[in-house]
Order: sequence, then structure tokens, then C-alpha cells
Amino acid sequence: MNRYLKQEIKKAFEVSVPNQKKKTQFLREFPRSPISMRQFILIQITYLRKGTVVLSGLFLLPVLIGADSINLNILWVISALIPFLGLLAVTESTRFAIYGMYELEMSARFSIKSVMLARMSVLGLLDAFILCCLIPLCYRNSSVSLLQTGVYLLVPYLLTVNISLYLTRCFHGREVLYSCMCAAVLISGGSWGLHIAADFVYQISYVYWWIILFLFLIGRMAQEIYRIMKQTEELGWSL
Amino acid sequence: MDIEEQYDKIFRYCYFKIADKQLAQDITQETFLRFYRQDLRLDSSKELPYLYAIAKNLCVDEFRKKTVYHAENIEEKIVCDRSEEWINRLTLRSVIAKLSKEEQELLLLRYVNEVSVTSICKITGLSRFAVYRRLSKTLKWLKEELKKEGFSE
Repeated sequence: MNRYLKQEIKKAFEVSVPNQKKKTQFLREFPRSPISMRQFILIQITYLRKGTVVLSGLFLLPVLIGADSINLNILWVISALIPFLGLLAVTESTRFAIYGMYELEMSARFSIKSVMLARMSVLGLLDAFILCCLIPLCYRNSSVSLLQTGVYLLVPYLLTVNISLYLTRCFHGREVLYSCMCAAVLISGGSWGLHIAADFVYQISYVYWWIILFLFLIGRMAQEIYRIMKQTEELGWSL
Repeated sequence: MDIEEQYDKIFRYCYFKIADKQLAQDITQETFLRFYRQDLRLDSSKELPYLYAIAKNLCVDEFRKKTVYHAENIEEKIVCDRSEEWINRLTLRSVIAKLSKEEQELLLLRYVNEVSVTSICKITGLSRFAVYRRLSKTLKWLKEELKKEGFSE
């Protein structure tokens, strides 16, 4: 009886809007509530895939667990793995490009540019946190200085991010994902290979070259992000 | 908050308060405009009670102007339909009309507009316990009255 009565109460109070046209027009022209930057970022965080965040966090595991048990110097293991952290960040922030969702993102409340910037900032901060944990942990278990540890980890990361961002601009759909994965694998292999075949580049005398490379990659990354933003602006005209 | 969803609910609430469709729609739109003009940073739990508070105040203002309250006749809308469903609805409406305005408001908020009890407390200023007690008492009374009137399921 209760459920039926409640349904009947609903019907008893039912009343239709007299002027449907007026309602539609009002809803169409209604000024949306302004949203603070904090709220916007928090909304974007909820859209990030949990798997990406968990996988990014897993990069800490080899250091925390394997540092003492693995015979190898953990720095080189992490250095070879770190490109995949960059890959995760780039593929997550440009997910709309991988799945061909440009139109949907552009018709939404916020511009594709601001959504992408927000996602990149959030993932960038997450990666920065992970790297901030990794660098001192790797330094503790390696024979090189803290500065060297930092650049040896950051250079492969930044290189992957740079190439992945470039590939995101050049390819469309699933090709972006495959090409970025390919780049990450190559950089990872290259990093490990460099450690095996040309160990001398990791000597202290070469550290300045590493720092120059690091700064160059930072600059290139800023340039790539700027180019991607410009490209998303142009999408509005080409769609 | 979904404006489209809330539009109809606020309209229903305003219509319940002032019984004039055109005016209720105007007040509904004014409610939303005032709500967003305030540019408040409210928790999502406080948004709905605040929206209802604006609607309520606007209805009270209109009521005070005495420009309204030519209640529309429900009977007129039933165009020679004598089906059981309509008879039931008519019976229910007449029984609901016997309830106090506060009890009717509670029914509307809880069962028609599906507002949470927490929000109802904020809108009406009643305690949680009072809301539950009044609702169950009203439902019980309705059932008894409907039985007397021969309301069929």
C-alpha cells in the first residue's frame, strides 16, 4: 500500500509547466554558475582513471621493496622504468585524442584546452611527487650524487613526455597510444642499453651535459604543450 | 545541481504555494536567477535548501502583494474522465486537501520532489525526528481516510 500510495501522491501533485517554450528558452540562455579553479581541478581529478594513479604509484614499489634484495643498482632499474611513468601521464591527459572524443569534449561546458591543462597539471603534480620520492630513495642506494640521480631519472622521463606529446600532435586515435608506447619502450631499452654499453656517460665529468639536456627537454616540453594547446584551439575551426 | 531537473520541482513547489501556473513559472525562473546571482560557494548539500528558501520567500512576497490566490479548480481539468484511476486521484486530492498546509508541503517535498530528509529539515526548520514523525503520521492518516472513501489499489 505504502509504495502505491506514494506513487499516487506523486501523481496527485503532478502539474505541468504552462509555457514549455519559455522553460526551454530559459534553460538554454541560463547563465551557468561560475566555478572556482579549485572546484574545476577537483572535478577533473574525479575523471582520471584510478588505474593510472595506481600504476603511477606502483613505480615506488621497486625502490621500496627491491632496493635491498636486487643485486643491481636500483637507479638504473628505475631509470629504465621511468619512461612508462611519462607515458601514463601523457596518454591519460590526452585520452580524448586517443579515443577520438574531440567533438564531445568541445561541446562540453569547459573548453578542451582548460580540461587538458587541468589534467596535465594534476598528473604532472602526481608524477612530481613520485619523482620527489624516487630521487632520494634511489640516491640512498646508489653510488652517485643526488644531482646525478635526479638528472638520470628526469631525463628519460622528460624525453618520453616530449616524444609522446609530439606524437599526440602528429597522430590520431589509437595510433597515438601505440606510437607513444613504442617510444616509451625504446627509451626504456635505450636507457638500460646506455648503462650497459656506454657506462662512461654516467661519469661525473658528463654531468653538465646531462644538466644541459635536462634544461633543453624542459624547454621543449613547454614548447610542445604550447603547440598542443594551439592545435586544440584550431580544432574549433576544422571540426 | 541539475537545473533542468530542479526546474520542474521548484515549479511544482511554487505552484503548490501560490496556485497560479503562470506566476509559479515566473517565480521559478526568478528563483534560479537569484540563486546564481548570489555567486555563493555552497556545499552541494546546502544548495537545494537554499534554492527552496529563495522560492519560498518569493512566494511569500507574492502572497503578501495579494495579487494571487485565485486557486485553479482541479475539477475543471478532469474532462469527463470517469476511469477508476481518475476517481482515485480525485479522492486522493480531496483527502490531501484536508491536510494542513505544512503536512501537504512535507508530502510534496519528500514524495513528489524527492528531497532528502536532511534538506527538508533545512527548508522547513524542523528536526529530523519531527519530519519522520509527521510524515509517518500523515501517511497513516491518509491510508485511514482513503479506506473510508473506498480508495482502491
